[in-house]
Amino acid sequence: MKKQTRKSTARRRTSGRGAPGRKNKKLHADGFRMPATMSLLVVLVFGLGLFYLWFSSRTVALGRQIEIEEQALEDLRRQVAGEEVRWNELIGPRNLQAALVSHRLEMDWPRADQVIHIRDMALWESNAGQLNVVGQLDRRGDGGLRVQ
Amino acid sequence: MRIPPYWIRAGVVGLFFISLFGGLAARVTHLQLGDHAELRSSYQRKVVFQTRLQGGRGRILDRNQRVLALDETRKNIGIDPQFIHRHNDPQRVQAALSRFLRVEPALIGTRMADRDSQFYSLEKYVEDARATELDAYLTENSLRKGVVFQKVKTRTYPHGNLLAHVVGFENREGVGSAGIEYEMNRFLVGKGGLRVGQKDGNRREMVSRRQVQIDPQDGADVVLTVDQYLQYGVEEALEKAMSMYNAKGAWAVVMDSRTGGILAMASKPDYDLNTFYSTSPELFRNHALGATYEPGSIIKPLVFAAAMNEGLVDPDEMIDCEQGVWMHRNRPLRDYHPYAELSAADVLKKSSNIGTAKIGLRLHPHAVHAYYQKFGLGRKTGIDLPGEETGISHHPRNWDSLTHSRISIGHAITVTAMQMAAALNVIANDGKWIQPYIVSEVKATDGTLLYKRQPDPQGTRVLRSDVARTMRRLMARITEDGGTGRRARFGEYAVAGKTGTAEKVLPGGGYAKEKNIASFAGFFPAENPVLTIVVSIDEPTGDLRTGGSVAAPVFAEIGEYAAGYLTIPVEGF
Repeated sequence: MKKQTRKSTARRRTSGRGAPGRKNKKLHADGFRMPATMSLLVVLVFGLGLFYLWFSSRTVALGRQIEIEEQALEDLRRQVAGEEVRWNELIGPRNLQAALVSHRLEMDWPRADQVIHIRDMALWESNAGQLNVVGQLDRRGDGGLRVQ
Repeated sequence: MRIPPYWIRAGVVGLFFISLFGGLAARVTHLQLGDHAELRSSYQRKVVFQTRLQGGRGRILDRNQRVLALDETRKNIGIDPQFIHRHNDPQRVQAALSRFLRVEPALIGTRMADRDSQFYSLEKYVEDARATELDAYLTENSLRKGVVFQKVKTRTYPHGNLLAHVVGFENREGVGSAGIEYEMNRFLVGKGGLRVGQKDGNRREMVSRRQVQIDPQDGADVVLTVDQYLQYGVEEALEKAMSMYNAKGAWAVVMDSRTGGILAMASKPDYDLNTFYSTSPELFRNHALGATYEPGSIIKPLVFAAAMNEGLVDPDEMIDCEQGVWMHRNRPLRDYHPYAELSAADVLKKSSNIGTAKIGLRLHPHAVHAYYQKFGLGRKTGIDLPGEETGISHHPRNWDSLTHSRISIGHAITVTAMQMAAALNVIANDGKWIQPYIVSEVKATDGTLLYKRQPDPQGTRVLRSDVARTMRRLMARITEDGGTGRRARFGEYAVAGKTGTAEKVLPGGGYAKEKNIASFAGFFPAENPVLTIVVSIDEPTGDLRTGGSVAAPVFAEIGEYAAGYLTIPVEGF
């Protein structure tokens, strides 16, 4: 009995295509078969969705970064302004005078014969001898430097 | 054909989900496409915001690019008592605030005790360093909740009183209200920006959804011709004089003789620019520009120069000074010291009223008026600072019988110290009047030059060059021995100048004998002038209240300081 069954099975297997009996699911799918265009569309939509999520999260991250940088910039500006105020107070004439007194330094102006004026004569002449040339030496003038 | 039961079950479930999502989709579509003005405006109100971004105000710098005024961020500190009582420890918060803030601890206690209130301001404009320190302390001790820190921009003047009347101040609304802050407001004020975006449930901006961002632009930097160290020397000298002579006020102008650039301008009493709001408005007045007074004898060199320019007087000719009293049009004109005869040069040196009046009378009244006009009296100098007064210089048709003789000695005319500096500078500058100025240049934050003052080397010719040269020599004699201005001399420098003592005019007419303005106006080195300086002391007290005794020493002190600081050679540049 057992032997007969084996034979009949073997027969069924060799019965060829289209033969009645069990279906070859690999060759004859009865379910929904998605068209290639549709598949492409689904993949595209899915891809777009993923891109949107990535893009959105990236934008949010960049937004946060901008916020941090803006805050840092503002803090730095605040610091710079604060330092500028402190520095200018420090080098202000009143503070310098107080520092001289506190260090018991007695300073006087140099005598006229102790001073050598160095001027850029070209600039000097072009400015009709402006006083503000003194102490703001411009070495770019054509006339070069001359010691008077 | 029989439908399997599981198909029916699947169909029901499917239908449920389809109706659910379909319904939602329909609602969303309806909300999106429908006309829901109320909903939209509610969303706009809650989520969308629009903020104006404030551009910073430009800085004010001196000629060496030292900062005189700038913007600084500070913090207003307050508390939310209700929140603190719910989520924090009021006692410890109070103790911490008392430690860092400059507020009476009792006041903090009173405000903290008001449990129903949601906000109380404790201290405004707290320096950034102190606020940061307090913030760190509170955070470290878990006491930060309910303490409010609000950032505010404020204008800071690092040198307080120094140059108060020149720099001026910006009011709380951000508008320049005095001095350069007012005059150059259009350059200093920044351009506002705009930000439109959305905020989340915590009212914080979602930066990723920012729609519009127009960055603000900071205002331009204004560079002045003044020098803060020279200014300090001038202010110290004035303070000392005020204290020594118990004077009501004092003012001075230091000008570059060749360009007209103002190197220092001081007016006392002054005020701290950082606390302008608690200052009496009386103190805002810049007396160097805004106080008009009869100049007295400091005007004499102008009359003398005008007469010499017209060929009506020779320095060597002798003039009868009438032994100190001269009856002119039935009214006596007196000299401080009586003289019989003086050379014209000595009339100036001894400051004889009679001699000068006689020289002035040689000029036609219209000529006197015209020369005064050319010297810039009776009109504004046009310096780039607000609050300048015109002074009074009447037309000859409005003169009375005595005006002609009195106007030559500095009566019947009023001037400002600035006008006198510019007028005297005509003699220092080879006979040419040049307009004084105080703004050197304006630079945008990116370094672009928006404005640059070009000094006018030509100026307006008032006197011939040789007359100006002679006048410089004659004025230098005034500070020599025997002259009224000998106390204006300093070091080895030859100083040319003129003393002046003018009694103040009473409101109802006449002069106040006890109230005078002592002045000294001059320049140095006499032959080749570099600086022109005018000093006036208002109502000095004591026995000697003349320009020669009170103002001349101040001139010498300022001159010595300036000569040393600017290293001016004895013979000039």
